[in-house]
Amino acid sequence: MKVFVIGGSGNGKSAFAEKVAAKFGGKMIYIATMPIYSEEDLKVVERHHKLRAGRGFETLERSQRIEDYPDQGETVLLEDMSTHVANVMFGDGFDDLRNDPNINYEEVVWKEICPFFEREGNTIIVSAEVTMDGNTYDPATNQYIRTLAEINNRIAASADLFVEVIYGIPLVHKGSLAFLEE
Amino acid sequence: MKLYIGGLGHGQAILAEKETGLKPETCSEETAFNAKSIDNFEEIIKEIVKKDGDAQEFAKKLLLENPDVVIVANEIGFGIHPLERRDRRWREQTGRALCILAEGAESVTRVYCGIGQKIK
Repeated sequence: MKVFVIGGSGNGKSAFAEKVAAKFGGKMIYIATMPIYSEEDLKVVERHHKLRAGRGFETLERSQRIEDYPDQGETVLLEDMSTHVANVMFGDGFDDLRNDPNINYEEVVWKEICPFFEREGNTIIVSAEVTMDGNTYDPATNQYIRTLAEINNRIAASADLFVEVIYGIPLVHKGSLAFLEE
Repeated sequence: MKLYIGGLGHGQAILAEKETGLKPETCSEETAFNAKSIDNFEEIIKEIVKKDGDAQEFAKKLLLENPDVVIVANEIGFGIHPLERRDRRWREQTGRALCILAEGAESVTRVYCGIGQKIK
């Protein structure tokens, strides 16, 4: 099953995604996209490590390109698209893209994400909602918002289950949560 | 406890008043414990974060000491990661405090363009 989990800041997206992963079971791979640039970032990463402790995840830190894909049959939890799109657009390790005048970030990110939908095992992708604060930003940030929104739309279209987590409460936009009760 | 949430101007306070008969009022951290209906819950968290207080402890205590209160909050967590550290903390702590309230609430209604959806 391919699952897409979205929500706002501090809404309990990770906890819900991990619950789904545990339900799928088997070997669980956690792909962490958050880069560590500051003490505050480190705290966020440590909080997530703590939440996952003892739950049997193998963690792969991928704050640059995602080029390797776990074997079929394993459960993958990829967290999350808002940092990954930021990594691709602004982070280290993508210098070649900066020099391309015709760069289409949406296509770059989608090419990386597609294999997660094509593999046979269970995949859970977490993303964030960033389009609803009514603010206008500098052109680069506006481009980031648009790119992430388009990527979110594409993931939602390909997912079997699409859940928005609102303060810990899952709101299903596509598919069914019945398997969680079984 | 009944919780109403929605984006700025989506009508959550109006719906809360219509459904509960209680007019939501803006409160401070202290007056929240005696209030019947609290509006702009996120502003209380802003004050707590400003004082380096514990927003999640506040939410737990509020549930325990004012279990019948109606709480209305504006959604602030659906945008770009704020540049200022305090704004980031405010945004995240509001989310975590609302997770605690939602878990303890008898009902959670999300209001979108004036339409309420009871999600719990």
